[in-house]
Amino acid sequence: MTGLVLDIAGVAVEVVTDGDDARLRTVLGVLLVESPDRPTRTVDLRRGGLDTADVEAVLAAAVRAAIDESPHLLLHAGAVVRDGSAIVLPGASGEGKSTMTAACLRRGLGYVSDEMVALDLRSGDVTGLRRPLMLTPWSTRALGLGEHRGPGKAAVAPEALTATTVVHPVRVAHVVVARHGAVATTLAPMGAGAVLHEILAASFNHYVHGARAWEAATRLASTASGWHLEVADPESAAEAIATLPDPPDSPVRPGPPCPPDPSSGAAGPVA
Amino acid sequence: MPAPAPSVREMEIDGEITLYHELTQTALVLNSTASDVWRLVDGRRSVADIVALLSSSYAADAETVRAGVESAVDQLARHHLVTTAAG
Repeated sequence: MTGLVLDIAGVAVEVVTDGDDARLRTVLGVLLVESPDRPTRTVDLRRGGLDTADVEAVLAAAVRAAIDESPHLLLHAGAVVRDGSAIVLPGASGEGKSTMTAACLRRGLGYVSDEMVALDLRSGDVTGLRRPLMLTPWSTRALGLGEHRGPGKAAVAPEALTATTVVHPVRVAHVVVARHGAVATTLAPMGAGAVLHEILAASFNHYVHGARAWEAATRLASTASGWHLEVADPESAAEAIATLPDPPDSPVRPGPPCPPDPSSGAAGPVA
Repeated sequence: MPAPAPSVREMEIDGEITLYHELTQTALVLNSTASDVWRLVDGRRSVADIVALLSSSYAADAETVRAGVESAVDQLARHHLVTTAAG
């Protein structure tokens, strides 16, 4: 029995396997906690029939274990960084987050995550699940990365796309909601109310944080610019994202004030 | 008289209202009409009072305004965001 301790959105999750975990260590090395404290959660892969070769499934199990423990609002979203500010790409599985994120990295944007973004409930800044990008064979071909011949998805390190991973918290400048299957890639502004709806719909653990999650999501929707992106192909979508116009006055708009420090007892999550 | 439910919190977002019901953990984003209605719901104004106040500012006939107000109040009540006790 061996165990890896992974940093999942600020939660130490131990993944226990029953044998060779060398591939997991190689692929998920960036998430490994070097000197772990006692892990908060444990995922035992010896039960449940998970194939340790299926890195994405292993990581999904670790994320599920972390969701209830994370102090952040966790969003099903990719995110990239341009000019020091984050562009968040909410979307469910299969909606092309990883492919669009990879296309953005190839245009020189920084990498936060292709799968999960953690929104700090107090500051509104985001960090990400810094996993390798998980790309389908279609995606690797569409992005000109060659043919992926192995089973499942290809795990592509951001460095392979000449991208830098951004590990420090970043303020969000834009939220881009993408829909695929368009004839031509088009970009249109999205109102803050619609952005709020998309953020809440993309959240994994709003029920854990209750009103604080709603307040943080509202502040994010108020301060970031929202966009509806109709996508014809990943490259033109990445071009649209890389050239998003910033508001004329400042990179982010002023929004509702942050809540008082919860440690003062003035606020807290709704049970 | 429609009145805000006790467990409801509100924030303004880009000129519209978003509401959060703490007990049901339900979040709603109101459109501009519903936001205007919500701002007038105070437990003292009747639906007719709200219709009269909004009719003066909306460029629509009274029946259209009434239908919109009643629909908004009905939806808010269904989400437990307003109470509609008689009074």
